[in-house]
Amino acid sequence: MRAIRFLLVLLPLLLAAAPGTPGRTLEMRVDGMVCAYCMQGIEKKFRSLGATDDIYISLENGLVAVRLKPGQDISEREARTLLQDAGYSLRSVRRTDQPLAALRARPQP
Amino acid sequence: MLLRVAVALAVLLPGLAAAKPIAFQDAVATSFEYRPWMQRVESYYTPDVHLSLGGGFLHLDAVSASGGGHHHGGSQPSRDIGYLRLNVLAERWNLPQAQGNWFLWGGLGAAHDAARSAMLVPNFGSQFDFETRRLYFSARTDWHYAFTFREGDHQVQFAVAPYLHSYDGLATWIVLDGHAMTGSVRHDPVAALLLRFFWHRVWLEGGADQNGEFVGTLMFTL
Repeated sequence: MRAIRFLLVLLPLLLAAAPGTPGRTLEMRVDGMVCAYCMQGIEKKFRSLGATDDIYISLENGLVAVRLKPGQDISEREARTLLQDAGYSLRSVRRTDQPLAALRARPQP
Repeated sequence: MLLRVAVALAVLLPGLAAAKPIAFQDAVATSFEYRPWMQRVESYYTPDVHLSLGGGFLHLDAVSASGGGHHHGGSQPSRDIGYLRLNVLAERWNLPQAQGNWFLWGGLGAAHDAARSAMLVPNFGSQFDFETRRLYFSARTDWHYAFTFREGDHQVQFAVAPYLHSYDGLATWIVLDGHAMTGSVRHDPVAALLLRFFWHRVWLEGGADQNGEFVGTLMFTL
């Protein structure tokens, strides 16, 4: 009984210390990304979503990356609609566990 | 000669100004444009990326019939035109590292000069642009029509980026601008060399035309 209680206390601590939930970064390849002024709308749209923790936009890579809040999600369909509403075209999307800092540190082409 | 051809293309082709009439959704874009014979202020709200609503005010300086300079076509008092307008994104082409746009617009306005006032002055125009991260081309034509006058405003721009800007960085462009007016009063095409900067939601463009006079545009989006 004491062992079970110990595990019940220990388990949440172990989970909290684990690496972030897989797939918490949505990496989207977007066409039409040439003008930072015009692309303010993309950032505005994604930041308005409750699931967005942070966003990184790279004109160099044609990339919009959104870091999701724990336990929350943006579906591919929703992302595609958001980008279309902002006037852009989604070419591809993938889910990774890359933090945005790692994406920012990538060498630019 | 090359400038005349370029501006003729702007008249014939759907045109594009330095700034697009549609910025991004749920935003208000306001611009101020200054040329030696023309000043314009416009503000548009974009409820959807495919259209924007708003209006502007256009001031045209008086023109004498004495000729000389770059003025032709008889005399005209200074004229002010206030107008409302609907802009439509007719087509957009999103490509990897490139984008093209075609805008159309139309609306109604009212004009006033020393001789008379004219209500219900229709306006219409078109704009085309194509850009990559290094090159930019635009052509625009804009008309205000009344029974007693018509004003056609035409602009073409070619621009080169000396460096490729990042999303958060300052963007810089070197712009060759050609501008002409047709209609009741014609202005020969005038070339200008401009520097364009934009950073986040502020756009600033300025330089001098071939007569050494200042030309500039300021735009910001909220």
